Amino acid sequence: MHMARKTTEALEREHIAASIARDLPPLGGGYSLSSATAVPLKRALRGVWGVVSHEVGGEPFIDRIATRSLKGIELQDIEYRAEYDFKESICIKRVDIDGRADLVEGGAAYRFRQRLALSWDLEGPERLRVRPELAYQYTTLDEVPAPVKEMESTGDDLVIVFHLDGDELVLEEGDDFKRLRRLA
Amino acid sequence: MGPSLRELGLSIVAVANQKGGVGKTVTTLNLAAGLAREGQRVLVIDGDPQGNLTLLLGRRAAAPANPDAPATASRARKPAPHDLSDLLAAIAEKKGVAISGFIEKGVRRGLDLIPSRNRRMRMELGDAEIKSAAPGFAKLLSRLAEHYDWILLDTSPSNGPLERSLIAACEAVIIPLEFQLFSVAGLEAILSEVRECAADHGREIRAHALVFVKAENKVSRIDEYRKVFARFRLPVFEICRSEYVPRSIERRKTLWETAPASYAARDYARIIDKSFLG
Repeated sequence: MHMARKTTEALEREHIAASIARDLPPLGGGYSLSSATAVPLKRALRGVWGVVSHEVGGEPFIDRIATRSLKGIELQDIEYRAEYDFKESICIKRVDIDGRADLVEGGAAYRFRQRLALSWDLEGPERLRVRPELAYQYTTLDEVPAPVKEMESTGDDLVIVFHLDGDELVLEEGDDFKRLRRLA
Repeated sequence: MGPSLRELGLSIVAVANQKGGVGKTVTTLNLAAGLAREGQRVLVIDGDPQGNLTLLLGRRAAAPANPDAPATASRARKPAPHDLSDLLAAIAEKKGVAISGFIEKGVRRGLDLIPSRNRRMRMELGDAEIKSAAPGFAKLLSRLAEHYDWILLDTSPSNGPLERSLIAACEAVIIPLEFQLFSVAGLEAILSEVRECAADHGREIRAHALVFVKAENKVSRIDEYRKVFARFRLPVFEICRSEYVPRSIERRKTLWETAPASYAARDYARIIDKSFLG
């Protein structure tokens, strides 16, 4: 893999920043881009993005769903769709999973739906600060619905690293890596 | 972005950096005027003997009286008879200080000013006098803080006794800087000065936020700076380079008076919202 060599200036800058950071009290940080940069960047993010690839810990997310969605019951014929609809300061995340559960009595249709409202803002040039505000989800097995679970905000922010790669949006949250393509 | 100054109960704030040309005066001006625009009572102190903030905000001395002038002219507000230099001298000499003689009231709605008009302040007062005035000046600001929501101090690009006395009188410091290696190197110096001032005076002075001015995407290596400072443990704000900033200065106006919808005004508004009012 090609590694760009860092310039003396870049090293010096990082050295200074690291040296200063050592002496700083543990305050909350946070980076607020200028409006002239943030406004066009936020505009570029606005719209509906569909997940085209999703890995967790280097493993395709769909494989995880197969083994972990239902306790001990493996799912087959999985269809996974996830979308992020970025609006002005709210993002609606939609996750749909359909599949077939192999039960002792025979195969049963499995359906999972999750809708999550996130407030979001840029934090620097490559980080999104998001806060889950409200979510609901339900699972049905063989068309028998389970109660809808409603989840309220814990007030905790999440930081998602992002970048635009051509016409794709890349989101990284720990070992969760998604590549999205614009749908609208 | 961490707790705001209001949440922390801190209201006396210096805008400081030993490096020149990093937008201290413009930042002080627009933060002070922006806070006043939000209905806050603000006192701004021109701590730079060059007096640029006074030039921007203060009243000019009246022209010689014109007997034909309309009667209203005589009621026009006059500059304060005394300035910061006189105030520090009076405190050092332990004279009773009638603070009203040093404050120009209502230089803008909700905004008062202690001006600076004596470019020879350092020479006339001398280091010893300035140092001896420091504790009294800090006490005076604490008393004034009972009458104002915010006291903002502009400082000069130096690290002499005057700047140290001003910083020592504050509860928090906001540090403007540029996307340049020298500017970032100077950050270490100002942070260490703030720590020393706090230690010398036995009180906490909070380095509250960094403000990168003249931000624009064509600045060399700006993305690298952003990546480094995005991980910093101090809130960092950018103010975009804007033609409206020099234009407003030329007209002796604030951004709020000339271009309140500009990106630069929005950037200052964000600092006020997140870092001051919270």
